[in-house]
Amino acid sequence: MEVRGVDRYQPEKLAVLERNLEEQITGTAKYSLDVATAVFRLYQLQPSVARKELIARALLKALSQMPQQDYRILIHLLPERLVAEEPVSSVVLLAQHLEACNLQDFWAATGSCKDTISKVPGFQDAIRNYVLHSLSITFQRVSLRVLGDWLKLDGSALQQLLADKAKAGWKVQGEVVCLPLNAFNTAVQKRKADLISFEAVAPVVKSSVATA
Amino acid sequence: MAFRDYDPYERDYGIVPDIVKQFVVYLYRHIRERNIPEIESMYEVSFPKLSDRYFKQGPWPPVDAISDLVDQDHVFCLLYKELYFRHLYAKTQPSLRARCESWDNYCDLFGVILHGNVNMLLPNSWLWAMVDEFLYQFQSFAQYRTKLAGKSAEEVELLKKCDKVWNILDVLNVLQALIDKSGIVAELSRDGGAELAAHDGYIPGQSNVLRMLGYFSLVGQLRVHCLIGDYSTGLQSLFPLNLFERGKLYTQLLSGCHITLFYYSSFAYVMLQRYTDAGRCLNAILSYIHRVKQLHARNAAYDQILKKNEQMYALLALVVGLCPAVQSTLDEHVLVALKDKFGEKLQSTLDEHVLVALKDKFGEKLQRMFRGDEGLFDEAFMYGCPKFITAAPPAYDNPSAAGPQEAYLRQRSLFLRQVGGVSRLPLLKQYLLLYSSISLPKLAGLLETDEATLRTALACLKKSNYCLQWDGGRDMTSGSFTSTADIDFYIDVDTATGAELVMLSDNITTRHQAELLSRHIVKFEAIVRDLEAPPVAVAAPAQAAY
Repeated sequence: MEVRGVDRYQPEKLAVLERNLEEQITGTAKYSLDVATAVFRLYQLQPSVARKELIARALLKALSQMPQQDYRILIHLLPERLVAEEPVSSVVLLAQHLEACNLQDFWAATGSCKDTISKVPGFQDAIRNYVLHSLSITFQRVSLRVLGDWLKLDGSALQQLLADKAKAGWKVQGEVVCLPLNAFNTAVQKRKADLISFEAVAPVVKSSVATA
Repeated sequence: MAFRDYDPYERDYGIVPDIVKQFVVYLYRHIRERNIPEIESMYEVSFPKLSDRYFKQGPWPPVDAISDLVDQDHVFCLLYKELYFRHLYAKTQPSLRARCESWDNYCDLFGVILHGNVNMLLPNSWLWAMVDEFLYQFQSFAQYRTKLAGKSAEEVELLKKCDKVWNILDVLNVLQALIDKSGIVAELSRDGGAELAAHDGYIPGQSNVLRMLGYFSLVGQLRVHCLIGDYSTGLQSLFPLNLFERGKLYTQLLSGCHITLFYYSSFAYVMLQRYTDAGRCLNAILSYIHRVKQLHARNAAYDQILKKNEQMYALLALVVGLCPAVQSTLDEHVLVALKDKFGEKLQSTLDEHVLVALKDKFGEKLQRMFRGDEGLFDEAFMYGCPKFITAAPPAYDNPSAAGPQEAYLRQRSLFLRQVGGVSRLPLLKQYLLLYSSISLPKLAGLLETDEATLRTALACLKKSNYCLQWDGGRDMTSGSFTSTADIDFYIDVDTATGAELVMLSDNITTRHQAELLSRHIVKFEAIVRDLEAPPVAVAAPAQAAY
């Protein structure tokens, strides 16, 4: 659902937007950041109609879009009084841990907002995907133990995940997992050559021809 | 609403100075005759001159005193009142009545433009000033509203009744209506602003009022969204203006508009953690100001321009502090000026020749920023940020609940958290610079931390360099992820020993001198040509119409 132009500023549409947001969270509607932004903006205008549990769920949904900045975009819209109480405050704490890559604390903190998380299907898988992405930009090879810690998976679940990722280039060698190489986790001797493009010197050539 | 009876600034306007009457009559006549150069000179020269001479402390005569001179022309009265209130806001603290009246006036004026068929011509600078002032008064009212502490009970009562006045939704709807009615989006999408630029904004045969108001409202929307913390919508509402293909931007001709556009865009990019894009915008606008500063030296807007210049340097210091790689993308004079201002504060770890001369001046501050000193980020943010507002009306019954600083404090705390997350990293970076490869346990020992924390910190460092960067297209919020790291590393596990190693890569970058040098060569040749040209008789400057 697109929210463009004048639709952004109609408080009468709030109910429609909220409904669409709920559908996005449960997965029945296509994800669109615009709707959440519009809802939060209207909440900022009238904090009394704000539905805190919807805010919490929407923030979790946005968080699962990492590394896109959706969560950041939404959190800037909420005034202090809307984030100070449960259930939003525990989601905010969760997000802080995730942004600082503090995965131990993150997984521990998910315990405190189990209810909200259970209402956002696919959250944990999305976060695991993000963790794998983070790993793939930092590590070339990582030990199985560390991987398990970061993903909060062990034993067969971990093996299952790795088997799924095998097609993408993830290989297991004993206790070590090899990650696929990409631009970010390879050491490239970047030598930005001082190539002088013709456009840069064209004006000089032009003016010297003119005066010659 | 007849508030005039209570206006404390009303004087007995039995006698309006003759010269003011003349000004009004001539202005009216020129507007009717669509004589743009004359209107422009009256608006930009005569109006400030008269304000300075006769109305330094107080307002201009109220509209009723001069309406007979202009045959009670409705539209002209609205325009006159717009100037009247602008002057009032600039010189005095407007009362609640004045604010309400000004709001009504803007509603009427924009109503006439939107629904009536206006075919007059007005100078573009006036139209931009209209939008700018409209938003400034909106900001001023929002801040006035939250300062409940100093107000008496009746004032608070009156304020409660004025909830329709300067309502943010109405403001946004007005801007949106101007954009939609003027069809500016379709026009710009079609030709990218070429026709507009070719005719300097005054397309012959048509009224420029609605079109230019639509254009300026795009910038206006960006501003309002940034003030409530809605950065991504702000950037989206700029469509189809393209910040990075500046050749086609009409706003370059109007410095106020151009500066506003880039200031709010770069601030939005900073808050969205897109530091390279922010750096690019700031570089562009600071170079622009550097070029056009002298032209405005005697203009009333000069102080404003200087203030914004300083604010943007503060933002640039933030960007460089958070993402040092941006330094190599800045123009030389911008970098030099930045070092001068935050001078003792900047430490360069990368570039050689330009900064060698200034290295001795590098002292504490930016070194400290690079080491993650939060206090300095706070200082720079406080200076550089716009005056945020809360969209919602304050809780009138509970004045101590949230003060006027609420919105600012909220954005600041979010920003500081962002900074705090990376504040431990510079120390890590300093260690990493010393090695080409180091084992994780050894590094952990050096940093006096355990391996798990170190692993987290390394991942965090990598993540902080993984930014969205605009790479083409009309949508200012689009982009692809790139690495903006000044040091590159990855973590590997040595299969033989099972030890984890941090491997760093060498980054050898060379600054592009060619463009800079060729630009200077061409400029120099132009200067030499001018000096060698035969002298031309200087024409007597035209007298400004009084």
